[in-house]
Amino acid sequence: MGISLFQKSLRDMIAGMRSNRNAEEKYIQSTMEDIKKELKNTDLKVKTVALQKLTYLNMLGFDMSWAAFHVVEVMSTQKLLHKIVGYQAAAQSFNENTDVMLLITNLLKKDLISTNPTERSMGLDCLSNIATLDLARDLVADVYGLLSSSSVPCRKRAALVLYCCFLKYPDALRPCFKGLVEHLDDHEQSVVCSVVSVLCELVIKHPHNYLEMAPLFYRLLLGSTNNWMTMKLLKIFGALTPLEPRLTKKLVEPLKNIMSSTMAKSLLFECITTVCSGMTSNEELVEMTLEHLKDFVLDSDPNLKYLGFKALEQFVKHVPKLVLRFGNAALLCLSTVDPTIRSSALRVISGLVSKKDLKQVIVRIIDHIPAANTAYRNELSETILSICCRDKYSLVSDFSWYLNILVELARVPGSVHGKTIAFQITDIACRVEAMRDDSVQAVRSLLMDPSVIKTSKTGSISEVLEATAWITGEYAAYVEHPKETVEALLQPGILELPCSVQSMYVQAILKVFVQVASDLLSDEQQGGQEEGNEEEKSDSEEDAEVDKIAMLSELADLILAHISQYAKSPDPEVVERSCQLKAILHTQKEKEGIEALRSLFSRLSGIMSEELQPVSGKAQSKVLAPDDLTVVTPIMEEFYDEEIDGVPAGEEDTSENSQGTIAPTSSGLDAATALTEASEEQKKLAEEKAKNELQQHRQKHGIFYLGQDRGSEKSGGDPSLAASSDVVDMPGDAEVSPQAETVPASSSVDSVYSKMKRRKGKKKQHGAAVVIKQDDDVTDGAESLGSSPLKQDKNGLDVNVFAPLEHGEALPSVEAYPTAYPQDVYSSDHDMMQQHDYSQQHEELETPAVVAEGSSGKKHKKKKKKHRKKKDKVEGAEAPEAQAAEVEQQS
Amino acid sequence: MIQFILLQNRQGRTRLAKYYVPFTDSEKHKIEHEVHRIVATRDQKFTNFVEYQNRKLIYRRYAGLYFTLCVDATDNELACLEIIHLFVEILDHYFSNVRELDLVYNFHKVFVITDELVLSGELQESSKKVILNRLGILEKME
Repeated sequence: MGISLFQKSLRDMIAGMRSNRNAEEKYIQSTMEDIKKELKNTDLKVKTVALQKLTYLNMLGFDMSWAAFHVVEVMSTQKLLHKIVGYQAAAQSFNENTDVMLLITNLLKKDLISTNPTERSMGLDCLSNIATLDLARDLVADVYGLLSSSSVPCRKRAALVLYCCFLKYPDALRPCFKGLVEHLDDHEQSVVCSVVSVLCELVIKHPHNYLEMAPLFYRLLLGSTNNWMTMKLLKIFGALTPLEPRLTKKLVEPLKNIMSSTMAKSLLFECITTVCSGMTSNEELVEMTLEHLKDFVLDSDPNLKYLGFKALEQFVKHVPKLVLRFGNAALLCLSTVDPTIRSSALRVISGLVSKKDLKQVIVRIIDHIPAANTAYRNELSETILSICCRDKYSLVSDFSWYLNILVELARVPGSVHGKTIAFQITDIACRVEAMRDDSVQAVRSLLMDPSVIKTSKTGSISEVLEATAWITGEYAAYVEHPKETVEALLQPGILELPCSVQSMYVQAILKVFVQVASDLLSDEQQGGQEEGNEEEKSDSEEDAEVDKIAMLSELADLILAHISQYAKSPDPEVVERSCQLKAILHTQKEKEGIEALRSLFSRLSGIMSEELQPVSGKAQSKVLAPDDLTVVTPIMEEFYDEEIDGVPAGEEDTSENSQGTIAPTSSGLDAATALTEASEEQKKLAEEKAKNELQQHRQKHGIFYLGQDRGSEKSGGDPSLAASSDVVDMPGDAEVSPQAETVPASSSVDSVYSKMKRRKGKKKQHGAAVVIKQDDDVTDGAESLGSSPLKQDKNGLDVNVFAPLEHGEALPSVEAYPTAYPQDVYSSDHDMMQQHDYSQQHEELETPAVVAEGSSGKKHKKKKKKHRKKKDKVEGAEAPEAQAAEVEQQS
Repeated sequence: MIQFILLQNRQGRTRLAKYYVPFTDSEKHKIEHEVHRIVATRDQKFTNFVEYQNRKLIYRRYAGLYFTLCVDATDNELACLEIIHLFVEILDHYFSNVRELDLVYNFHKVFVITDELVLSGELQESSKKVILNRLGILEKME
């Protein structure tokens, strides 16, 4: 490329940027100024070089949207060398919002029909990058035309670019589909490969629309020699097999052949993914796949290891028993450096654990905790917690062991799972009575250890401590060393914990103290009964009594000495509870003599000892409602009347309820009846009117209506939706029974209406019958012959690609642009306007079925024949209707 | 489907950025920044795959350059690595012993090569020979 004397070339600019590393920003600023000037230059060479520099800067993140017009200028030059710079710039910088986009439609069109292969491929490349709805609509016919070009690279590109157009302009998919599929038989492998790539993307998005093509794909799979294409085909089958399990049987052989013969790991892995996405029912195949996965998992290459575990994650969901052999390998991988492999291995392990090996596995996971970093530690803890609590702790058989594990997990520094741990400890203690002793002992170590409180700031252990305090207090009867426990509950570090935890601690002190006291005194009582028999021991008994009172007051003194630390807390709950405790202790001090104390503590423990029982979630339903409970009766009759007046077309719910279980007041009932009658009357009229209008509209503009949406039937209120359900109801209208007593009005309207309709015009009803038939056959119920599948708003590509084209459904041709194609580029049979012959197309697609299905597929074939007959009928029936619609439109 | 191809050096300078799904300039900038941060901090012993938003990054380091592909979650990772390798082989052949500077000074040629290899996010040609032949033809035009 010649460069004018004073202009910096691209090379100069890049070299300049490299030598001005320190002041790069400044350098680029000045270069940018130059570029702006150069772009305005009339010399095309100067302009092109400037644009190329700008493109480079744009790639580095500098704006070039302001130069869009200059890009178009350079694009439209004759010289290819300049043109290519313009196309690159456009591909990189144009987007939906570029306003000069309109200018390049014609330019691209000219390129696409050019005789120069380079121009054609430049146009295709550029279009693939910048396709918008407008461009796709205006150019898709030309791209489609290039599919029949004689040049291989051109056909290959055209297929891929067609997909870009489909994405932007989904209406093009159906008209182009037949032509696209024809190229699966292209004699050039690379063209077939591109078509398969496009189909692969389409199938993955909406597999249900492409089930019919399975035999064709199967044939391609058997004949494919290109690994890339085989991978795409396997991906297609991976999407189809979950919908059609019978395919699995056919695929076993080819998959086995590929897996045993291929050297390429990528292809092998694709086979594995295909098997795990929908063929896990075939044990033989799974067995073989797992053999190969073993090589992946045990490989030293982290990539293969990771992919192996990723695949195992899928297999674990379906066939956990077969994956068991990988348990050890997964456990060994927990020390791998790569976090992604570790996480994947953890997920595999968690899917594999059984009741038998739970302890072993958990211990091995815990072993990794000390060496791990915080994130990994938390991940390991989370896995343990989720494994064990799965299905209400169904895997855990030794709860006292698990309680110790929970306590251990609570001590993990930086843990974020305090809440879960606290919940699980409390849950187990509450639910399992036998475990309460163990849980009190297990949490004791947490309670006693002052270092635990110190770590509370970094992690979430304070939540566990709250649960600890609650368990200690609630199940104080199991506390073995009351004095130590009370001391632990009083340790000064507690003041650093959150207030809710502090108040729990204070409450626990009270509970433990009352428990200890009532235990001591009730022992006394038993001793007292024996006392009468053995007089010799009375002295020692008395001593014991004194000892016990001394012990009690010692404990009380201990508490009193420390309790005041809580009095200064900002939290009212803590203050209140500590004052309460103080008051009780003082009362105890005032009492003299063992009897007084005994009565005090027996009363106190009476208050405390009532146990908190776990309640089932369904418990409420077992409680019968009392007879005199009247929730529906209006509290104020006057108010009730007013409301009815205010809402003339109120809900029928109210009336039904009032007629139901509870007898309402007479005025309420009257009002309610009046309400229903009035509203039904009105409703009838309104619905009839709405339906009539809608029906008229539908007849006029039938093609714009979607297929009936079954989901919308429920909401009959909306007239548009009511009409859509109407189409379904009609053929069996007389038998249609009202869904509930509450909607007699609408159903009677339905029958009246449909009778009227029958008289009015039989054609339309016929159409409705067609709709129903079609519905039974086609896998995707959303589509029907009666409505154009192309008019769907959402998921424009979700269309039945095999249904015959409708009248007027074709690729758009833009009259304003030249449409005369040179003969050497296009083969003569290129005529998109022609309607596709449906049955013929079917013939083609069905022939491979014989090859593919062999003897086992006979039934299936028969079905298909039937299916075709039905379709033919349907088509025959549709023809007069279409004509009629046309006539109507014209009138 | 390939969503974008990125070539970055260890300092995070973009040497090639080719997008197959529309992004705004600021999004592109953000992506390039994030991808560099993710890719450059990964240990050599780690896998070459990273989950990124709901897609996957497949990267490979050649000398001081990171070649990164961003693909859909359903795509085959190993196949992507093969695409990267094919790309590098073609570059190496075309520039005979490619160096980072070759790519810097010939960014427009690298674009042409990319277009020959990948079109609208799909691998359009898997044969090194075919692509090099095509490039030879294009070269003659200049």
